This record gives sequence, structure tokens and C-alpha cells, in this order.
Amino acid sequence: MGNLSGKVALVTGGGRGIGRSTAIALAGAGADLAVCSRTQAELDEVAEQVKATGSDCFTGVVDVTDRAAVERFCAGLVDHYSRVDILVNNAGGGLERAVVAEADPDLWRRTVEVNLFGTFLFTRTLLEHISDGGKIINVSSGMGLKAGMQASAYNVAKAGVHIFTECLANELWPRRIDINNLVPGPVATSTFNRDDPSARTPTADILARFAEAPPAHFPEFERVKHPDEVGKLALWMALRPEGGPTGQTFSLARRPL
Amino acid sequence: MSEQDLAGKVAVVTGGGRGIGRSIALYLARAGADVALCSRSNGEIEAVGEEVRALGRRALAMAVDVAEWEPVESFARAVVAEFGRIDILVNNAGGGFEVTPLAESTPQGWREAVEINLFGTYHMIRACLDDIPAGGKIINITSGMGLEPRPGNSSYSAAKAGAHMLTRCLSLEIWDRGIDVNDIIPGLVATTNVDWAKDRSSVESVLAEFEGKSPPFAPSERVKHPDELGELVLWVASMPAGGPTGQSFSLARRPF
Repeated sequence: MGNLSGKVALVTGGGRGIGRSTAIALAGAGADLAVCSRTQAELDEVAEQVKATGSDCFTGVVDVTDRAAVERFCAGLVDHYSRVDILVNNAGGGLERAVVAEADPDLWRRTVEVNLFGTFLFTRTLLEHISDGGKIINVSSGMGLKAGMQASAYNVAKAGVHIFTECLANELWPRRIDINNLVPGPVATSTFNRDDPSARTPTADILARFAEAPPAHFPEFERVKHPDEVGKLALWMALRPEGGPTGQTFSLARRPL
Repeated sequence: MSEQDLAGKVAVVTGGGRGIGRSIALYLARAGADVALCSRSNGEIEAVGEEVRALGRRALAMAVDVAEWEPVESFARAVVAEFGRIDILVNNAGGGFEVTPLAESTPQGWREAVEINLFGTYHMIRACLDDIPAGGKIINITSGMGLEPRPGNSSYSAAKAGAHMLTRCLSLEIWDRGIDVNDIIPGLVATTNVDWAKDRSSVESVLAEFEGKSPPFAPSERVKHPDELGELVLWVASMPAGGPTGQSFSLARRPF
């Protein structure tokens, strides 16, 4: 499919789901990887899968809202690889799922911090180490382009990611760094399945649960995808030539956004 | 390349005589598709038809003005008579630029842009839709000008905005037939109809003028070879069934 050998890619939230599929897809094309998430056991599994492709894997346990932890991890990453060619800001999630009238202000704020501030923080911390001609891929969401209900923090945070990508594209083109949004649409992840963190449902079971129809808050014409489909799109985006699209959105959704 | 295997598929490319349309036709043919082409004049599409045949595929070339319903319908009937069905429809024919402020526009020139860019797309879809099977793809070449207002070319902007909305509406109407419909936004491409190149006699002359630099009106843009569009259309046309629909895929280098 193409060649990323000699490139260094960081995937945030890479322990499971879309992040893990993306990390493995990039490693499969030859990139050396850095992966962070909050869970060491998941990082160990990803590192093993990445190393099985012959690529190096640098890992760290990081809460993306913790500025000191992000800076420490990035310093270690730069120490290890000396630069980043591909940054995938994937870490995210919907924590507050109440209507605004009942929302918990702390959960609302934390949802914005994980999805939006985390994306900013990794970008800000690594920008001077991202190679000219590099790529930044922000995992956004259709929910950032269209309002729903009971997820206003996530809607607002992803809308922020969306416009952040555009702002950054305007600032970074002189360095030939291309930055685009990736909209996955519904994907069979533990986050999507609203799992309790103590009991994560396997991908195959989530796919089986939604094989006939997506959950009720999606239109019937959406399809719940395997995370590998998103990893494949992220790889395609990472493989665009220098001077490829920037400030754009690449979506696997099946509803107009 | 196994994922980009279009062997046995039938593709229709409008405005297929040169530039982006020619590149699209040849990319689809190289991936294995038979290709039907139309454009307003006969000579260029005949030549592209020969290039398709030289790749070992079947080709049909017809002179059709997509702004007119009846010729479009005849073309669609001829394609189905020859190839049996239409798996991939690429609405690429466009242009008809009336590059003037609205206050100086002529109703005829303004209308022409809408007829080619919007009605042309509608006509082709309307004429072909009954013969597009499940797993089919409709790809509309639209423009960033249809998403972002700029002064001086309202007919083209309005027509492309209409085509963009047509894509989105249609995706909601035909998803249950297993047909996906998406937009492609080329950004700046070296073709012989661009009005921003000094020497637009060929793709090569335009590329040469902008090698290593951007047009002054779009400093972040890169002037692309039409083949980059052929590659993108092939990628979208090769998506598995249940892939994206109602979406836009852009090669532009400016947020819209």
C-alpha cells in the first residue's frame, strides 16, 4: 500500500479501538511508533503487535489532560526518536451523557479537556519536533459537525477539534505540514459501546450486537464499522504526498454532515 | 492493488475528453473497468476511448452536452445497451465560467453555468440511476467554490453549491439500494481551462508555470497534475459497499 519506513508516528489513545488499529496499520507500512494511553496492560499488547511487524514502539501511560504528563511523555519520545513525522490525535471519549439541564459540570469540562485540550496539548508540545512535510491527523467526529442530544460536551469538544484543524492548517502550510480531520462514523469500540471500564466488550461482540442496525441515536443507514477500517483510512491519510490535502475532513460516515 | 480491482465494472465519465476527466477515465480503465465517455465535442473523447481500448478495456465515446436532457438520456441508453449496466458514474463535466460580478453578468451566461454544472449532474444521475446496481458509486466533482463564498463568479459557486447539496440529498434517498454517492473537490489542477495560468495550452505548460510556487491568489495551494484526481476517484470508486456516502473528499489546501 505504500511506504512509511523511516517515519516516526505517534498515536494518542492508542491502547485499544481506533487508536490501536491505527498504530498497527502505520507500523504495517513501516513506521516506527509511539503510543500512549492510560492503561499499561493495553500498551503492552499494542507494543507487542507493533514489534511483531518489525517496527519499534515507544510507549507511555499518559492522561492527555495532564499537562505535566504529556510534556514528560513527549520529552521522552523526542529523546528516543528525535522527531515526529506523523501525529495522530486520537485520544478522546464521551464522559458526560446527560442533557445540559442535568449535566455534571466537572464531567462536562473533562470531556472538553480530553477531546479538545488534549489535541491542542500534544500538538503544541510536539510542534517544534514535527518534521517539515509531516502530517497531523485529528480524529474528529460527525458529532462535531451536527448537534445531537445528551452529548453536548462531546459535540462541542469535537466541533472545537474540527475548527482547530482548520486554524492549524492555515498556520502550518508554510512548513508543509498537512493537518486534516478524520471522521470515523460509528465504530465498534468500547467507548461506542459505552462499556464500563472494568468490563470491556470484545470488538466482535460489539459488531454482532449492531450487525442489523446501529444504535437508536444513529440513523438506520449508518453502519457500525470495525476499527481496522478507520486504521486503513488513517494510513491512507498518512501516505498522502507532500502538498496533499490540508485543512480538510476525511469521513467514513454514511450520513451527510 | 487487489483492493482497486474494477475488473468487469462499467464506468461512465462525463467531460472525459481531457484534463481531469481523461485522467479519471484512464485510472478506472487501468484498474479494469470498461469506460463510457462523453463530452461536448467528439474528437478528444474518441482519442481517450482509443487509449482505454489500448489498455484492453471496452470503450464507448459519444458527443453529449450534459446540459441537455434528451442527449443525456440517449447516451445512458446507449451505455446500457452496450455494457448492460453502470457501476460507477463520475459527473466531471463542468465549467461554463462566467467570471464577472453579478451586476455585470448576463442571464444567459449565468444560466449556462448552472445548466452544465448542476443540471448536467442531475441529468446524468436521473438517466443512469435505474441501471446502477447495488454496490454502485456515484462521484460528483464539485468545488471549494461551492462551499466558500467569493466575489466574481456567483453562477459557478451557486451551481457547485447545488451539486454539493444534490450529493447529500441523494445519499439519503439511495442508501437502501446500496449505492454510495460522494463529492470530490479537486482544488487547483493544471488543466487547459484554468483562467489563472499565462500559458494554458497544455497540462505541462500550466504545471511548468507553477512548479515550486503557488498562484498569487492562493499561496497555500499546490497546482496538481490531473492524475492526482484520477487516483482519488479510483480510491473512492474502490471503497467496499457500505463505505462513506454523502461525504466530500477534497485535495484542496485551504479550509472551506
